[in-house]
Amino acid sequence: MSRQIEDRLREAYQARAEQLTERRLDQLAADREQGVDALLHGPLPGDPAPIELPAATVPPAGHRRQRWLAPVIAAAVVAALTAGGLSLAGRHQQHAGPVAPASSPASSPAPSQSAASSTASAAPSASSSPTKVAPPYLPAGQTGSRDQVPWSRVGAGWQLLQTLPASSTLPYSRSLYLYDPAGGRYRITDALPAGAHLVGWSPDGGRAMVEVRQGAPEALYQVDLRSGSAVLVLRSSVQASFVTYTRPNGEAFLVGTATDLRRYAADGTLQLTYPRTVNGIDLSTTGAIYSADGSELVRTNDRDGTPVLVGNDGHVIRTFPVPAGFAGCGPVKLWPDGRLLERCRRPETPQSGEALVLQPLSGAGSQVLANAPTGTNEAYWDAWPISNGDVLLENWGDCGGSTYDILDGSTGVIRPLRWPGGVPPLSEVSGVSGDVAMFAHRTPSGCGNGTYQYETYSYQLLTGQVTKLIDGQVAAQPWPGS
Amino acid sequence: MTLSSPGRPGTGAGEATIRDRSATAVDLTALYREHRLPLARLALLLVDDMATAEDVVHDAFVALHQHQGRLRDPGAALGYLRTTVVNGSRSVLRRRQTVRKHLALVRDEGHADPADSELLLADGQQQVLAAVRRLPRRQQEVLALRYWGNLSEAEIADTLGISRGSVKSNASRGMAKLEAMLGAAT
Repeated sequence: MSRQIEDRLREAYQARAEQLTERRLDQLAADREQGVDALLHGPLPGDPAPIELPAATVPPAGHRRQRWLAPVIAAAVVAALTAGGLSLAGRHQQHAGPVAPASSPASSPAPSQSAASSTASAAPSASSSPTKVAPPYLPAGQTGSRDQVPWSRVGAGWQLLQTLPASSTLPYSRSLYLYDPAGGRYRITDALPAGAHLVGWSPDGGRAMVEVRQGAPEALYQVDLRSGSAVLVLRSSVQASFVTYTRPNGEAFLVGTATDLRRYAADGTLQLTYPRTVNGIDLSTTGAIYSADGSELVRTNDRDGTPVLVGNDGHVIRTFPVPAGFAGCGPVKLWPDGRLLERCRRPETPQSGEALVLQPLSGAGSQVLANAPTGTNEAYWDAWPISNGDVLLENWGDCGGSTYDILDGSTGVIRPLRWPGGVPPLSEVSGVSGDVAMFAHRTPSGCGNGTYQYETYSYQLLTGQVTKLIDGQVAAQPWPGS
Repeated sequence: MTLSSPGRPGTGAGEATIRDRSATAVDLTALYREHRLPLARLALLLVDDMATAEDVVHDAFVALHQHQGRLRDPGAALGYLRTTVVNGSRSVLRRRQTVRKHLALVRDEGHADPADSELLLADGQQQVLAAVRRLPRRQQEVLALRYWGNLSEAEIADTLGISRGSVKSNASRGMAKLEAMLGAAT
């Protein structure tokens, strides 16, 4: 993304925001209090004579609300005045009463973390060959212990999950589960550090990284999945934008912040601070993608968001040309065959014509994977290969929801992903591992008021079998080898 | 500027959130003193009207006052306020849209604040803000929290109740649209 646009946006925001000063805010508050006075104690001088309202008529909702606002906040304001920090006039200290905020996160229900096990099937794709989920996986919805995990079978199709609360004011769940491809789960621990959020699964499959932002300072813990124990590996005075294990084995990890990209050994020892500017190219510090063997990294040019391949020591190996017909491309992730998945914009319809392109890290010619329909507001955002040669495509919608399509690998035809009932819901993919996708199905389906309820489903991409796993949302880490 | 967390020392942007773990209740006074203006400015960027922004923030503090006993972590109070301000701003916009639709009322003259007008901004800044207002609401919220509030992706996700991936994609998509609109306009 262009740094110039970011700078212009910051500058415009700052200029507009600074038009609102403390003094102006006090004045506005006083004006509002005057309005409350007028409502409570009769007309202001110069107002027309009052009109008698029928008994059933009530003041507008906003005015009724205002009547209760001043007295309720008064205690805080008076305290602030006592402390000498504020100068506000005209506050009332009576008539305290209930107020219902327009939207109250604290009143949102917490997700029920009991596993559900309803299963339904969508019609399988014509090009799909139904496959069976091999035993001895646990039945969907059943919970096993950490000791029951068949570690030799853990691989593609498995996901590491932490259930998330429905409300941001509730603490994260302290439970970590390993889900098998059939939807059965194994409890790894119920004692994650308080406030921990799952951010990574090591490529060797044996460890997870969780991040705690509710402490001081921020902390990263590594969880041994076989024992369930968590060990503090890093405390940072700077909040991380991203954390990822190194490849191929996860013997170290990268932490990116707004100012630095650093590599740490598994015990938290700093190994390297990557340079920000190399060969005149400003490189972003808030993301990086490892090559499969871990010898190279894809970073992004901070000016235009284009990918830059660097070595493990940070030196620039190459930049990539923008494919013909596109205005620019940015990196998404590594495709299983080692190519880089890029998201590209067309020059004529930059806001609606996003395409997904596969770019070999060698710099060889790229290949368009999927073109979003032109003339619409659709845009492909991410993709996951399916073992039958098809590709799951994420098609971006407004308000954080997405719809999903299947690209037929043999014909190139793109069709909506089928769900039971035939209507593809607006969802968010939580993770895709092998041929199993985890979806957070969201209601209401439109933009709504920003408060949504989630249910998490697993979707067998080959068979179309959908299984509800839990009420609520999850933080998922797909099997890191897939 | 940074929408900092309670108890955080006034140092540079991007530093870790510091919380006073000894606190057992929400210090409403300190929150009000420290965060009323930044929150009102955030609301201004979302609703584009100073009086409404003040109202939204006032409502948010009232809501916090009433719900503070239900906050398990007093350190979550600022997050609660942010979320309430964003949701309150969204409600205002919905009501405004309804009013415009049914009463064909573009703007109530009584709420015009000439001294606060965007007209005082430079042309380029007005152009950027006009382009931002053409984005979907969620993208506007993510961009305001990220580029004015300087919140991390995780904090924005917490504030809006969406996943980090959604934050990232909303931000990227919003910026791509801005680039398209502003690039075409210059």
